[in-house]
Amino acid sequence: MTLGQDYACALARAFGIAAGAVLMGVAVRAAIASCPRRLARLLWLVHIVPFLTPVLLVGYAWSRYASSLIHYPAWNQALYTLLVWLRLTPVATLILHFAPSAMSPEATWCHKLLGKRMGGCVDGWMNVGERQSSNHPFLQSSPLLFWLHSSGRAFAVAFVVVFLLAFGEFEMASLLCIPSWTVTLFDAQAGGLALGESLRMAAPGLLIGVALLGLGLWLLFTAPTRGIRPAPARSAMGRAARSLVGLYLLAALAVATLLPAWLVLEGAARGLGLLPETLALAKEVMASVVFGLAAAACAYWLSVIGCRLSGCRCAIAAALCIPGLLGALVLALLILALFQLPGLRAAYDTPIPLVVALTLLLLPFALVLRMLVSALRPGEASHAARLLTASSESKLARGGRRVLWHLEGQGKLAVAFLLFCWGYFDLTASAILAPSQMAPVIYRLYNFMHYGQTAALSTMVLVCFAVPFLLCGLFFASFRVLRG
Amino acid sequence: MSSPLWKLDNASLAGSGMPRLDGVSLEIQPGVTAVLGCSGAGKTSLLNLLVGYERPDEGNVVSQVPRNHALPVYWVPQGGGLWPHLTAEEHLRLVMSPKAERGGALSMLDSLDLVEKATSRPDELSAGERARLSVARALMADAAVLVMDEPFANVDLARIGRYWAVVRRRIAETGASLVFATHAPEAVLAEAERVVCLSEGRLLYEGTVADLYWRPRTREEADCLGESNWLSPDEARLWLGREEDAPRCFRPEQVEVAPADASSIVVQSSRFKGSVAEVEVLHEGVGKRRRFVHRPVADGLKAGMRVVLRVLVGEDGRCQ
Repeated sequence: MTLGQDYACALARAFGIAAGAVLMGVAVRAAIASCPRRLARLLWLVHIVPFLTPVLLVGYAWSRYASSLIHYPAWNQALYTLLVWLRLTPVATLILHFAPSAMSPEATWCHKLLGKRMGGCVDGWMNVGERQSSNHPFLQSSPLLFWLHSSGRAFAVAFVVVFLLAFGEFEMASLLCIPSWTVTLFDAQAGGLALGESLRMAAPGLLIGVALLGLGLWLLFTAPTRGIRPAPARSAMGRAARSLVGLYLLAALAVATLLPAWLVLEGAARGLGLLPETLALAKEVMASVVFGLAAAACAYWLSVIGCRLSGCRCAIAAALCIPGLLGALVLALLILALFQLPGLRAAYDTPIPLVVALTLLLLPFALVLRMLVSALRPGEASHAARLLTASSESKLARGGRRVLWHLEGQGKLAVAFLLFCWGYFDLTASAILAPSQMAPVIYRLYNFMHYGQTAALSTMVLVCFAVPFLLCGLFFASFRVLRG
Repeated sequence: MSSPLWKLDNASLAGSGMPRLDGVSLEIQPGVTAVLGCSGAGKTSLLNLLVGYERPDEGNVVSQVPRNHALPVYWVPQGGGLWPHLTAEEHLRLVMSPKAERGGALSMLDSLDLVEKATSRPDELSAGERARLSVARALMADAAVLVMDEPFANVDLARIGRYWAVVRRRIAETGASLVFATHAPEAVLAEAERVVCLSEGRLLYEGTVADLYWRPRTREEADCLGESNWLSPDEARLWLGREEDAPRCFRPEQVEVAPADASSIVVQSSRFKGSVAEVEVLHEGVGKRRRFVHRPVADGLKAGMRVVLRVLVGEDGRCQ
C-alpha cells in the first residue's frame, strides 16, 4: 500500500468508527438515562472501562488472533475497526452527555411543541435555504439551527473527536499489523528516515487534524452555551432496545478489557516463576513512573491555571491544547524537530522533550477533566463544608475536611491518577523522544511484543500494568496513616 | 452601637454585561438584618461576599465577626449546598458541637417537619424539604452569624410563619446574628431589625426597618417594603387635606377611604385584594385622577360612590 492509500484507508475507517461511535453513544446514553441512579452509575463505569484499558494491553492480547488472520486482511481490518470502535464509543457517549449545550431540554421540547405550526419537517428545514436574512424569525426557528444549537452540536463535536482519535491511532494498528499511515510513518522514522522527510509524510495527517480541530472548536465556541449539561430526563426507551444496549456494554467490556486481561493473567500465571526476572525492568519502570508523574503534574498545574483564565487568555489555553489533540505521533515528530533547533539542541536526548510532549498530550484531557470536575462539583456544598473547617472545635473542623475530601479531593485525585496513567502508558511519544539512557517500560514491552506472546512477556506486562495501581494504593495507605 | 460584623468598602463584583454589585459600601450590624431587593438586585452576590464564597473584584470586605461561637459564620446558600452523600440527620450531626444534646438533631428536624426524612439523602427530598434541611443544618451549627439566602424558598406559604418562629427561637437561644436575603417585604417587616435594600447591584438603603417603612426618603425606597401612596405636598393637600413640606409616603394602613355624600372625590373603580385594596378616584373639582392603596374594612367601595380620604395613623404607626 502506498502512503496515499494508507491515508485514504485511515480516513474511511475513522469515518465509519466515528459514525458508529456516535450512533451507539446516543443509544447508550438514552439507555443509561432510563435506568435507576445506582444502576446508571454502574453502567457508566462498565461503559468507560474499555476506554481506560491501556491500548497496549488490548493490542498485545489480540495480536495472536490478528497474526492468525494474516491471510485475511479484510477480517483483520474488521477486528481492528471493532476494537477501536469499542474503545472510542465511550468518548462519544461522554461528549454527548457533557458537551455544553445552548438549549435546555425544556427549551428543545418547547420548540418541538411548535412542530405543527412550523410545518412539516422538510418545510421547516427548507426555511434555512429560502430565507436569506439571518434575522428572519423563520430562519431563527428552523429545525436545522435548533438542532445545531441543541443536540446537533454535541453530535458534531463527538464525531470530530472520535474521528481524530481513530484517524491518529497507532499502537493497536501496529500490534495488529494493520496498514495505516501512522504505522508507516512510525516505522519509517524508527528505520532512520530523515526528520524532514518524516514531517513531510505526516503533513496530510497534520492538515486533516488541524482542519477538523478548527471545525470542532468553531462548533463549540461560536454559539452561546448554558454550561455543562445536566443529567438528562428519563428517556422512554423500550425494554428490547435497552437489552440490546446492555448486551453491547457487556460485549465491549469482555472484548476490550476482560478478555485481554484474562489472556495476560493466564500467561502471567504460567510464567509466575519468572517473576524475579521482571526486576530487570525496574529501571524502565522507574523511568515511566518519573515521566508519568512529571507530565501529569505539569498538565494538572496548567489545567488549574487554564480553568481560571477567561477571555483572550482562555483562547491561549485552548490553543495550547491543539498540539495534544493532533495525536501523539505528529506531536512527537514536531517536538523532535523543535528540539533540533539551535537554541534547544542542548536539551535533546534529555528527559525534557518527552516531558514536554507528554504534558501537551495530557493537557486537553486534563483541562476537560478539570472543567468537568469543577462543573459537577457542588460549589455551595463545598463552601458549606469549608466554613466548618474554620471552627475552633476540632470535631467540626475534621467533619468539614472529611466532607471536602468527599466532594472535591477524591475527584481531583482521580483526575491526577488518570493523567499519570495516561502518561505512564504512553508509547508513541516515548518511543520517539525518550532519552537513550531512560527508556520507558512501555516502549521496551512494545518491542518485545513483536516477537509474539510468551509467559515471560505476559508476566512483565502484568507487573508493568500493576505498578500505577500499586502506587495509588500506596499513596492512599500513606494518606490514611498521615490523616490518622 | 456594638462594632459591625462586616464592613464593605466600595465592594464590586463583575457580571456578564453589568456588575452584580457596584461599589457597595455599608456596615452589617449585629442582630437581624434583611437584604432586600428584586430578582437580580445583587442579594445573593452580597451574601456570597459576606461568607467568602466569592471575593470582590474591587473594594474590600472586612469581617469583624466575633469568635465566641464554635463557628464564626454559617450559611444557607441559595441552592441549599447540601452534601449529596449524607442523610438529613447526618447533615445535622456533622455540624453539631460535641457539647450539643444527641437528641437535638431529631428535634430540629421535627420542628421543620423533616423528621420522617431523617434517613433520606438530598436527592430523595423535594425542593422545599431541601431548603428546610439547609436551614436546619445552619441552625444546628453553633455559629456567631447565620447567613441565609432566601431561606424558605419553595416552602408552602402557609407554613413559612411557623418555620420562621423556629429560626427566631434558635437565634434567641444561641445569641447568633442573622443576615438573610429575601424579596418578600412581609419577611423583612416580621423578622428583621435592619434592612439593606439593593437595586441593580447598587445600595439603595441601609438602616432600620421602621425608618424605611415609615420614613422612606424616595418613592423607590418606599416601594421596597410594598405598595404605598407617594404624594407630593400639592397632592397631599388636594387629596388628603394635609400640609406637607416635602413629598412623602403614606402606607395603605395610614389611608382611610370612607363614603361621604358631599365629597367631590368620586370612586372610578375599586379592586379588593384581601389585606390591601386599590381604588381609582376622580377629583371633580380639578378633574384629576389618582390611584390609592389602602387597607379595606370590606369590599365596600363601588364605582360612582363619593368618598373622602383621611390619614389614620402617623409616621410612627400610632393612630391620629
